[in-house]
Amino acid sequence: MAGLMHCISASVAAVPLNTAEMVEILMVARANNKRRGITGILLHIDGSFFQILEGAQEDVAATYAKTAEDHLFTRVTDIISEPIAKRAFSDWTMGFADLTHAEQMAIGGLNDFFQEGTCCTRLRAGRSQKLLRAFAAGRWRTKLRRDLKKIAG
Amino acid sequence: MIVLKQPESTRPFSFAFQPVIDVVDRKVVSYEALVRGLGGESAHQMLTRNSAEELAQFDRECRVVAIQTAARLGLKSHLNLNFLPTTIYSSSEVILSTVQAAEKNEIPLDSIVLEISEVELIGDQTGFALLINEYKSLGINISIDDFGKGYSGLSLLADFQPDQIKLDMNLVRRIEARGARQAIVRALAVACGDLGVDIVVEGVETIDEYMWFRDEGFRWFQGYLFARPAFEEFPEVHYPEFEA
Repeated sequence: MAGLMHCISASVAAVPLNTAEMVEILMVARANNKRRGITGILLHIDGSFFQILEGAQEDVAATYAKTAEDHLFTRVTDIISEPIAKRAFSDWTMGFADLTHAEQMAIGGLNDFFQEGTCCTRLRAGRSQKLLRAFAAGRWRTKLRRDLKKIAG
Repeated sequence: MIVLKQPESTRPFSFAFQPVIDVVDRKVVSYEALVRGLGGESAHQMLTRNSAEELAQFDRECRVVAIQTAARLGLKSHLNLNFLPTTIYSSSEVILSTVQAAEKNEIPLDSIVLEISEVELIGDQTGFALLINEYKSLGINISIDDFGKGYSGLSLLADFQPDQIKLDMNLVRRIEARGARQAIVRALAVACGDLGVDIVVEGVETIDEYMWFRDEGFRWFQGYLFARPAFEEFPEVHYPEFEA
């Protein structure tokens, strides 16, 4: 069955990224997603990324595999991959928000996802919304330790 | 004994409903449908009346009747339905009858929550995962009931993430005084928070149990403290007077 699925993942920038590099990542992702009929969202805060991809199963799998291979990201973590009945981000080839600067949360109506009450009126607000909130609240963020000392011997 | 086409009025069973409540918004988020004999017999008594061959058919008909009855009562929330023991690995036609009943009664598929007891899942997990994916792709929610009873709970979450878990009563009972249970439940809350899995605290009977869970931030409850199951009706809910 060629049903829909979503893949929710977290990762961390392998090297510090400047704004131009972030924009470049986003533009490439949007172009690729459009070609494959993928929709979703990417959040960033202090080097940590949170991504939701949704679309046909083989397209989502292929797109996720590319992320996992990308040298710009490390610790790529598959949080949940599962079938879904309908898309949560059907209007966005790749929504984006940089939570490092809170005022940018207003981008593209994203702030709706973080306002209490707007999407919690039902028992299951949906996995995507719940995990977006979890990330916004500080879960699934990784700080790479660059100060580890090599043990002699 | 159970005949599928039997008219509703002569069926030997019907349903009682018990609410799952959100104490923060003070509202019912779902009703769990519990099978009852027309004389008020419990689910267990109903089950032992049926032979093994009849069980699968009985199971299918149960969900259909539960949906019909809830719709007739004016369901506005979610509806928690149960699989009977040993029938969860049945084929896709089980799914079909549930889907058809929901559509016929104008209940959206994403307001249906299927409860599967954790103890039932110890066997064929691969077959189970396939079946569950079929439900998920239809938008039907999956809940693991009696979570923590079979002591396989956490490893279950490693391979399969439901939409909801219902804490087993053994974890809930007198939790305010039992440290090991508190530690397990706190760990579960973190794991479920990370995975977007809702936790329902079930079988809450005392205000002390309730207060412990409220202090820890839990908000979805089910139990005698709030409402007993009511036969063929949605019972009145008693919300605790105070907030943590």
